[in-house]
Amino acid sequence: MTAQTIEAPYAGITAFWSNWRITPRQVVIWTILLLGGIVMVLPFVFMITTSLKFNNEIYELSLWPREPTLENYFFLFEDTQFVRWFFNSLLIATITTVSVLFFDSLVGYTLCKFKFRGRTIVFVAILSTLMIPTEMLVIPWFIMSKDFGWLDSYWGIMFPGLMTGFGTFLMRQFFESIPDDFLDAARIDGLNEFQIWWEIAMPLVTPALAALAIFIFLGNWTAFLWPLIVTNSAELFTIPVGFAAFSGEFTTDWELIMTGATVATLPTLLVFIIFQKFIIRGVMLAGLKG
Amino acid sequence: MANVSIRNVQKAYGKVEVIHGLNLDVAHNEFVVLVGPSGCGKSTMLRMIAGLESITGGEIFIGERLVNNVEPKNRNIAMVFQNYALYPHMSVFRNISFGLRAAKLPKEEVQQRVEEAARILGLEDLLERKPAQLSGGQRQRVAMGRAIVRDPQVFLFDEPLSNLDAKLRHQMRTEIKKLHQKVQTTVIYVTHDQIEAMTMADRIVIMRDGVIQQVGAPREVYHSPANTFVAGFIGSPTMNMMTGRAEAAADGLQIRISDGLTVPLTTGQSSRLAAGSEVVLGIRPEDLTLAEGPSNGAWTITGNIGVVEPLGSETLVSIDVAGQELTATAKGRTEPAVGSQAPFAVNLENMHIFDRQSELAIR
Repeated sequence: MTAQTIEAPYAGITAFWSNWRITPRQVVIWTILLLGGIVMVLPFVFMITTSLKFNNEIYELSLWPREPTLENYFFLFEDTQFVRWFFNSLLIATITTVSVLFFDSLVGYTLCKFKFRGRTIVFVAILSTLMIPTEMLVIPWFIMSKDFGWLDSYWGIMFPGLMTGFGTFLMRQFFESIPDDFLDAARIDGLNEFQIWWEIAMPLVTPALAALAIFIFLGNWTAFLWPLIVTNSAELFTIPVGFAAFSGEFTTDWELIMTGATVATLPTLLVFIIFQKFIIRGVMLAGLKG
Repeated sequence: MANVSIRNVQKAYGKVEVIHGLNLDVAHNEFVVLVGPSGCGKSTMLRMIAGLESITGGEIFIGERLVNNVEPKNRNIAMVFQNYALYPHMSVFRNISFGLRAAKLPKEEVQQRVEEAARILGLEDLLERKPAQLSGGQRQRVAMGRAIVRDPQVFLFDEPLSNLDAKLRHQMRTEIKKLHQKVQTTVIYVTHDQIEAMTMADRIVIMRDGVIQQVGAPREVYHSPANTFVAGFIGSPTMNMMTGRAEAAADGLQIRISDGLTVPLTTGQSSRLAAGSEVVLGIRPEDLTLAEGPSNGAWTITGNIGVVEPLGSETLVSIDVAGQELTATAKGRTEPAVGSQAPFAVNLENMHIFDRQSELAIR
């Protein structure tokens, strides 16, 4: 009797392990997942370990450095303009992200919730901008920048990305899911249209805003072609453009590039971790009838 | 005084007119229910009163004030929506107080009004919760709280109970009625559920295709429907309708429905008809009852019993009478045998007669 009482709590666990069978299907799935995981993680591991290597060791494919060193980090922060480039990237990515979140959702909301003549034409025009590749836009952007005197300036780097067709489209689609009754209730409650958008509609599309924020921030953080074209001064370089300077005609300072990339990954991780919470919270909110 | 006056109001979307010159006067403190099938224009009418929808023509007065071009927030109305429209990211307190805060009322007054509304509706313990943490009935009460806290001249309800289950709906009907008695405000309530309309309204407005079919007290529209549409829409189960022709009988007129079925008319009914008139005869299921004993002189017809639906308090019986499918009633404990034949007594006094062409009641 006593033995039974003691054993009872473990009975379920024992039963689980005794009934547990590894099926061939599970083996295949796990193998694929494991390989996928390795493929995804390995470049990051390699990036970090390379940043800890001396120059003469970087072409060895060893995962762990013979003599780990922080020399590259000191060099990067003290003897290059990396801190400045980091600041530039952060400033540009942050301003662009805030601008996109504000204007794209404002335009998306307007296109979704207001009926006016030409609404569809405007929407189609915005959509059509998605079909033009950046490479084609670079020349008109450059001519514009030159004519307006925006070359080699923060504004010059940022202006093409302050509003996006993709963000407008995404936000419009999300605003579709908000019942008009919420907006009507707010109208009766005495809010003006801007307040309704800001206080009622925006909090209800938090998941979309979070997704868009991650997408836009990462896009601007890693942008290379346009910042390279529009900037000349090293003080205005963003991280990717600055890294290009580490690559000379005959040699490339891989250890510095890897060190910079390791540091540059941190803000993107931070952005993802912060906004991921909003995405999950938003999805939970949207999933419940309210 | 918060009477609502709707004068010749029209609404068109492009070339399609959905409300055709509607006239209605709602008295101060009256509870009026707009009822009709989907697409009849009742919600559009309510939204026009609220100012959420523009009007194409006509005039709307709230109190003595013409409100055609007045913003919703300035009409002194409150509206409860079908899906409650509670802001999911705000607590119950913030939801209820939202309009007051938007109007920049002092904090103390906001607090006081919300507490008062919460007390009336029994929401005191729920003020810190989010809408997602509430049951359907609680959400409905919060939506009403948001309305009454504004102390409006007119309450507008847009199918507020349609998302609730049957039991809760019954409970909320009672609560809304009690609330109306407590706050003494004009109420305009839209529903497609004729039971809601019957149980709650001082007056019912029955609409079809943007036109009012009848306005009257619940008993009036039930017992004296103005036309076949109202007769069919009000009442559950629906009224039995049979088309036929009036013809002379020994003592007045009778209606020939088919070769095997003629229905005699009372003297009063006969006096309103001429022989040869094409009519629609309406008999409510409760006026067509299973004759379980001697008929005591009541006129009976024999029907083949098709489907039996016991409801507890009564039993609905689908019968076939000379090719006509009719719904009759029997006592709750009766168990008529499917496939058998039985006599059914018809209460001739309560029969409704409509002109077949115009569909209007012949009175």
